[in-house]
Amino acid sequence: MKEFKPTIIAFLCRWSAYGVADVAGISKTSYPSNIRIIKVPCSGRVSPLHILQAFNNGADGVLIFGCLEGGCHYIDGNLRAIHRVKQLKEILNIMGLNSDRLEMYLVGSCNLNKLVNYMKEFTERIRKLGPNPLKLKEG
Amino acid sequence: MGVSSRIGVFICRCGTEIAKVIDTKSLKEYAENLPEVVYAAEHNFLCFKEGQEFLKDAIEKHKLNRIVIAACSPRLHEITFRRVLEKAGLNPFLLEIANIREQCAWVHPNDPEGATEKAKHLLKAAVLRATTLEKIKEISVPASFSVLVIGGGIAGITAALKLAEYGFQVYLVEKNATLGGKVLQLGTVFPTEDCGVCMVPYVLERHRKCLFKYVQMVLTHPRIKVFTKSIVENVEGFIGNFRVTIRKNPKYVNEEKCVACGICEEVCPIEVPNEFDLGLSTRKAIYLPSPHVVPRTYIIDENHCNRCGECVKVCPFNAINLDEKPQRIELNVGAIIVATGFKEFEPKGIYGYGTYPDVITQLMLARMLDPSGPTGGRLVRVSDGKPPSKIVMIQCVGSRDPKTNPYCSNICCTIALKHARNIKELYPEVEVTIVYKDIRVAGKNYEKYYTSCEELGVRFVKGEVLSVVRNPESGMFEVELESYGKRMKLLADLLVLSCGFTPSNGIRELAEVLNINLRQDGFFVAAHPKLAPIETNVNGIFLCGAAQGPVYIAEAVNQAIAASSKVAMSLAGGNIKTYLTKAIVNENYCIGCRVCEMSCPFNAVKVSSQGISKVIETMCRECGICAAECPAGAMQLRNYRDEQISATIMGVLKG
Amino acid sequence: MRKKLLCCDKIKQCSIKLLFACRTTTSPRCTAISVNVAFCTCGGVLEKYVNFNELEDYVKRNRNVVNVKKYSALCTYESEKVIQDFAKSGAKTLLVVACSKYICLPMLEKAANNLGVDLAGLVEFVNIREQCAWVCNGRREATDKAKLMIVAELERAKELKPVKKLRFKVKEAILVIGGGVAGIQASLDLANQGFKVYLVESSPSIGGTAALLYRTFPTDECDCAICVKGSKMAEVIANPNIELLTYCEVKEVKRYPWGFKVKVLKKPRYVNYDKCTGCGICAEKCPKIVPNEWDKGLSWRKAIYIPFPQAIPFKYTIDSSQCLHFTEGSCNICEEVCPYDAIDFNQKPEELELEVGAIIVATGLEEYDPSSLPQYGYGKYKDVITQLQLEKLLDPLGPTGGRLVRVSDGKPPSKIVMIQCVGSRDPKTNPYCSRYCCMEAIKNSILIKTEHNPKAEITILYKDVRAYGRLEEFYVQARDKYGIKFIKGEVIRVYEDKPGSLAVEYQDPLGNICSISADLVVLSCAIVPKESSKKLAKILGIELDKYGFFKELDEKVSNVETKVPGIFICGACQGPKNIPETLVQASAAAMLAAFHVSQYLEKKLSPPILDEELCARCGLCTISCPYNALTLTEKGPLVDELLCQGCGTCASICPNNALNIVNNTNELMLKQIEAVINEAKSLKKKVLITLCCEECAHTLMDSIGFYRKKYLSEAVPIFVPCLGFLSISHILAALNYGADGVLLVGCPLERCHFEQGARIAKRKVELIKKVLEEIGLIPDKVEIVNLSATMVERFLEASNKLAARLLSR
Repeated sequence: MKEFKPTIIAFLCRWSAYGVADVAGISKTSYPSNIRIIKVPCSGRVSPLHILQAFNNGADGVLIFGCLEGGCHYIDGNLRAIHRVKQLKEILNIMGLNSDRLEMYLVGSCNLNKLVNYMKEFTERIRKLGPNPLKLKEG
Repeated sequence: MGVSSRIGVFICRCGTEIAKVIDTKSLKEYAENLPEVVYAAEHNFLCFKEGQEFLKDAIEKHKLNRIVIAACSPRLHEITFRRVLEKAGLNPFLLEIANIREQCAWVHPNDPEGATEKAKHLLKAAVLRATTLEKIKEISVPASFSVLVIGGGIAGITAALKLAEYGFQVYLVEKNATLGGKVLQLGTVFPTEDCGVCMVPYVLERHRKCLFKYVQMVLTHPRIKVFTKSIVENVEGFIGNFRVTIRKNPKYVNEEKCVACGICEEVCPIEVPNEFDLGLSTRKAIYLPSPHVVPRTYIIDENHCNRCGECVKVCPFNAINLDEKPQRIELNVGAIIVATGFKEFEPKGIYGYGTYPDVITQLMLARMLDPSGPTGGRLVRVSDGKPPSKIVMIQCVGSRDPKTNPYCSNICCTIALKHARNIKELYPEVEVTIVYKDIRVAGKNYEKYYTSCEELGVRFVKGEVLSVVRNPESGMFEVELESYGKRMKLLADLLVLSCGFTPSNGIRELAEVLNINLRQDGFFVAAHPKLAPIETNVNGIFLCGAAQGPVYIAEAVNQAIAASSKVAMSLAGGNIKTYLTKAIVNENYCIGCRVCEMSCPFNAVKVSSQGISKVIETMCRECGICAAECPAGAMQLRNYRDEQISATIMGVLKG
Repeated sequence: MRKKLLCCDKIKQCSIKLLFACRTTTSPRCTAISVNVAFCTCGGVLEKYVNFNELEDYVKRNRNVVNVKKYSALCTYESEKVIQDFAKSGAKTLLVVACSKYICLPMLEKAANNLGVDLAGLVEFVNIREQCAWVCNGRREATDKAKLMIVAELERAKELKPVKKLRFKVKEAILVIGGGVAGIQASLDLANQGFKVYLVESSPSIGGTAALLYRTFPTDECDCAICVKGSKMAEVIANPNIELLTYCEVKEVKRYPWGFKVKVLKKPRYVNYDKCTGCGICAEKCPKIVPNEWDKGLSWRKAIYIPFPQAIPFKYTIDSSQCLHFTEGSCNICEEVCPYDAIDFNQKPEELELEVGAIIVATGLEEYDPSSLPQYGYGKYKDVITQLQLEKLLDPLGPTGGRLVRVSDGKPPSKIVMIQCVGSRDPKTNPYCSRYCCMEAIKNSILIKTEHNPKAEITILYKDVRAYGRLEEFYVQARDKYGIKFIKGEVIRVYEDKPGSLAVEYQDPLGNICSISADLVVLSCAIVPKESSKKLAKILGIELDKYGFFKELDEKVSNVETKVPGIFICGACQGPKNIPETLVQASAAAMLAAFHVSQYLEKKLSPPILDEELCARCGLCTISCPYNALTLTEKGPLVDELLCQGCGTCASICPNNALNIVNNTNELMLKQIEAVINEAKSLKKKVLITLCCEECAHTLMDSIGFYRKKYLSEAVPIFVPCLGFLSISHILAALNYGADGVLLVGCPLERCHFEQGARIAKRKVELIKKVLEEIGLIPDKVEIVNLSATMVERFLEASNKLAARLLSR
C-alpha cells in the first residue's frame, strides 16, 4: 500500500490566518499540499457540525486557525472557537475518534513561520495517527 | 433557487505564475465535467482590462448565472471581479474565487501533481459552493441626521460644535447643571500655561476665544440643544435610528429667565462648602459655581436648600420655581458620542488625607493656584492659612497600584510638574520635593516642564513612600520613603497627593443603558485599539475624551473631532447602505433560546416577544458566531450558510 | 531679531512725528450717524447701583442719539423687542448699555436672525454691570463711570460701518500628502464621507513606517502592523474615491480663494503600472543587488524591486540610480524576461496638476541616526543596532526570516541590552521625549522572550519608563512576568570588552559607575521629523516648530490645524505619537478638512483698509503681520482676507497711518480717548484710560465684576481688538489730552490671542517711557499688565499700585 497522504481541512479566519496563508504564497514558503484551506469570516463561525461533517466525509484531520487572543476582529470569536474545540475533543474521544485529529491554533497575521510550522507538525501528527477510521469503514 | 444554475469557470494562468506549476489545461477539462458547469475557459490575465472584458462577454454570451474564478487570492481581486459581474448584470455575490496562486501554485512549486490535485479540489469546492450561492442585495436604512453627545466637558462641547457646524442636529446632555467640565477648575493648563478655558472656535478663525464665550456659541447655536442636569435613561434601536430617553432633573431656576443678577444669592440663608473649590471656599444653597460656567444662570443645590423661598420672593424675573418636577424627553438620533469625563481619585485615609487638612490633592492645589480661585492664587496651608515652606508631592496615589488602580493615569506627572513650576516661580524660597516612580511627561510639548522644574530647583526623589506621620508638636509631616534601597525621611508642612483619575460617576449605569463594554477599571473600551480606537462594540456609538481613560486636553479635543468625523462618515449619506451579507433567522426553526442574543458581540440579535430572534442588519458585522452557536440551526450567516460551508468541505474532500 | 530692531527704530522715528500729528487731529472728519441707545436694568437690580434716569437724560443730550429706551432684561425675553425698536427708530447703529457683551450679544444675534436682521457692525456694547456697577463703591461713582464708558462707546457707535462678510466655497477635493498610517486613515475617513481624495506618497508603496514594524503595541501580542495596515491599505486601493499617486512628490502649491492648485511630480517607475502583475520574474533575473532600505540595510534587494511583500500597489519599480541599464547602459534583462512587456526604460517624469480645497499633511517621521553620538558605538560595532533594525530581525518576513541573530556573526544573542532615550530628552540632540521608544523597547523585549529566546537576558537602561496610561500593564508584564531587567542609569559608553562581546558602561542614580556585558546592544532612537518636511513647509507656506516638526496652530486645542486655513497636519509629522494617537489625529484632520471643503465658509472681515496716497511702500506692515496675510506690491500692501484676523498690528506699525482697520480707525481711537477725557474734566473726575484687548482683558474685566471685587472707578475701559493695534500715538494722545494715566491690559506675553500683539504692545510701552523722558514728562504714567482672563487678584494689585501712584498727585 502506498504511503499514507492525509487529507487535512483547515478553517482559516479571513482576517488573520487566511492573510498569512497568502503571505506564505507571496514569500514562496511552501507547506504540505494536502492541507485544504477553507475561508471563514471568523474562527467563531466554525460550528461542531462542520468539523464532524469533515471527519464524516473522510478528513483525516481538522485544523482551525484564529486570531491571537485580544486580536479577534469580533471581540471574542476565537475564544468561543477554542471553547467549542475543547468540548468537541471530548466528544470525539467518546466517538472513538482520536481527539488529536482536531486542533485549534491562534496566529497573528504576520506569524508566517508559526502557521507553516503548525501545519507541518499537524500533518506529521496525522500521518502517525494513520487514516481516519470512518473513511476505512466506508471501504 | 428557481432557475437552475449555469456555472462558468474561469481559470487564470497569471502569465506563467500559476501555469508553470499547475496544469491549467487538465484543470479546465476537469472543470468542464463538474455538475452544472456550462462553460469553462483559461485566460492569461483575468485581472487585466481584456481579461475583464473576456469575462463579461462570456457571462453574457453563455447566460451564466454563477461565476467561479480560479486565480490569485480573493483579497487581491475579489472586488475587481465583483464589479465585472455587476457590469454584466449579475449580482456581485454570485462569484466564487478559488485561490490557486498564493495558496496552491506558489506554495507547492516542487510538487506539480500535488498542486494540480489540490487545485482540482479547490476548484470543485468552489463550484459546489457556487451552486449554493444566493443573490445578496444592498439595503439602505434611512438615518436620522442628528447626534446625541453625552457629557458637556471640553470633549463633548468640541464634538457638539463641530457636528453642528457640519450640519447635524446635536443634542448635548450634561449631568451637572453647567457645561465646561474639569477644565474650568484648573487655574492654568499645560502645555500652553493659559487659563483652561481658551479655545479655537471656528475652522477659519486663527485665534482663540475664552471657553465661556465659546460655549455661549454652543448654547445659542441653532442646531444644538443643550440638556443640563440631565441623564440618559434609556437607549433603543441601532445606528441611524437610536431612540433615546432623557431624564431632565429639576433645575428650579429657569434658564430662559435668569440673568445671573445675583440677588437670590444675597438673600439665601444657607452657606455650605463649595465643591467647585473642593471645599476651600463656601457658597450659598443657590449659587454660581464659577463666573466662567455656562449657561451663566444660578443653580439650586436641592440637598442643602431648605425651601425657605426667600430667593423666589426677591427674583425680579420670578425665574425660580422650587416645585419643579423632573421631566422625560424622547429623542431620535442617528449616532451617539460618549464624552463622559473622569474624576480625581478620592485618597480617603491614604497618607492622612481627610484627617489632616494640610494633606491636599493636586486638584485642590490647582484651585489654590488659580488666580481667581478661593485664595486668589495665593498658596496657603489649609489649616492655618499661613504660607507653607516645605511642600512634598507624592506621585501615583491611586494609580500604578494593584490595590487601587493598576493603570497609570497619564496626566498626573505633568500636573504635578506644572504646579511645582508655578509655585517655584511665585515663591522661589519654598522647597518643593516630588516623590515619584517614573516621571511620565511623554511627548513633544511636555518635557519642558521637567527640565524647567530641575532648573528652578525642584527636588526629585525616586522611591516608594512607606509612611507619613504628623509630628504633633512641630506640626510637620514626616514622609518616610525608600529610594534605591536606602531609607530616608522628608519633612513637609504641606503634603500634596497626585491622585490618579477614575471614571466619572454613573459610567456603569450608562454602559448598561448603551450596552457598550467597560474595562475592569471602569473606563469604556474601544472596539479595537488600532483599527478602531474610538469606536465601540455598538455600531454608531463612539468614545472621546477621558471616557477611555485620563488624557491631555489636546488628545481629548482630537478624539472629539475624530469622533465627529466617524459620525459624519457613518451618517453622511443620510442613510446607511450595506450589503445583506448578514445573519438571518429561519423563524420556523428558532426556539427562542436566546443563545444567539447572548453570544452576539455586537447586540445585533434580539429575541422578540413572540420568542423568535430577530437580526438587526445594520448592527450585524458578519462574524457568524450566532450561526455557529445556534442549537436549532435556525441562525445562518448569508454567504457563509451551513450548506455553503459544507459544500466547500465536500468539495475539498471528495476529489 | 533684525526684524524686531527694524520695527523699533522705525517706531521711534514715527512716534515723534505722530506726537505732533495727534495734536492736530481733533475735529471729526467723517460725518457721524444716528444711534439708538438701549439700557438694561437687569430686572431693576442695577437701579440700585446706577442712576438710570440721569444716564438717559445724559445720552439724550447727544445730538446723534435719536432714541433711548430702558429695558429690564434684553438678554432674555426682551431681546426681540430691542431689535424691533431699533429697526423702528430708524437709527443706523445700536448702543446697548447692559451687562457683559458675551451674555447679551449671542441672545440679541439669535433674536436678530429670527427677525432677519444682521447685527454685524451695527451694535456696540457698554457693560455697566460687571465693569461698572459691581466694581464701584456707591451709586454716584458708578453713575459717573458709566457716563464715561458710554461716551467712549458712543463715539464708536457714531462711526460704525457694517462689517463686510467673506462667504466662499472651496473645491470639494482633498490632497493627502503621505501614505503612512495617518495619511491612509485620513484618506479613508474622507473617501467614506464621499469626498474625492488624492493620496500622494513619495515611495513606491503606501504603508509608511508602521508597515516596516513587525508588531505594534498596545495589542502587541495580537497583530503585526501589516495586519492592521494591511486591511486598511487594501481598502485604499479598493475605494473608488481615492486616487492613489505613489512614487509622486508635491512640487508646488498655489493658494486661491477656491482652494489650492497643486503641482505633483510623478517619478518614472520605468515599469508600466497597468501591465505589471507583480509576478516578480524581473526581480529574479535582475543582476544588480543593492542593500534594501526597507530592511534597514540588513538585507539585499534588486535594482527592480517591490519594497515589501504586502506593498500596495503591488507593482515593481526600477531604482534608476542603481539599475545597470541607466548606470552603464548595458543591461536589458528585465525587459527581455517580462512576460507582459511592462518594462519601459523611456518613461519620463510627468507633472500632474490637481485642484483641491484642502490639504492634509501626514509625512510622518524618521528614526534618529545615532552614528553622530560616538559613545553608543553605532556604526563602529556591528552588533549595535536600532530598534527599527531589531524589528526587522524579529520579522518572519525580514532578512533573517524571523531568526534573531547578531549581525556580526549570525549567532543568536543571549545577553541583550537596550538603551533608551538615544537622541531624545537630551539638550545636545533633541530636548523632547519621543513618546514611543519606551513601549517599543518593552514590546520588542517581550517578543524576544516569548517568540525567540525565553532564556535571553534582557536589560533596559532607562531614564524614566514612560509606559503611560494603559501601557503600564505591558511594563508590569515585562518586569514581573518575563523578568526583563529595568535599570535606571545614564549610559557613558558602549565598548568592546573582549573580541566579539560588547559592554555598556553607565552611571546609576547613586553615582556608581557600573557596566554590563552584552552581545547585542539595541538603541531606542528618537523620532525626528523627515528631512523633506523643511522643503514641504516652504512649498505649503506653513511653519515648522523649533524641533522641525510642523507647527500646530495651538498646542492645546487645535494641533491638527495650521495658520493657513485649509491646510491640516496629522501624525508624527506634528510630533511623536503612537499608532492609536496617530489614527485619532488623522480622523480629526479628516473631519476638519471635510468641514472646510463641504460648507460655505463665512468669515467676518475687519481687514486693514489701505490709503494708497499715504502708503510709502515701506513694507513694515508685511513683516509685522503675525499671520503673513500681507504682501507688498507696488500698489502697497495687499491683504489676504482669508489669513487676516483683524488684529490691527499692521495699522499700528504703519508710520504714515495709511492702514486702518474698519471700525477701529486711528482717528476713532483718538476721538474716543479725547471724548472720555473731556467728559471726565467736565465731571471734575480724574481719569485713568484703561486700554483693554478684546480677548483676555475683556474677559478679565468681566470676571472681576462677577467676583464683585471693587477697584478704582477712575479706570475707564476702552476696548481694542488686540493691544498690538495700539500705536504710540494713541497713548501719547491720551496723556496729551490730560489723562492722569494710561493702563494697558492685554493677554500674557506667551499667549496673546494674536501671537505677537502683547509683545509688540509691551515693546511700545517701554519705548514710550523713553520718549516721555525725552520730552520731559513723567514716564511712569503709562503702565502695561499682561494677564489672562482669570488673574483677578493680579489686576487689582496692578491697578491699585498705579492708582496710588498717579491719583495721589
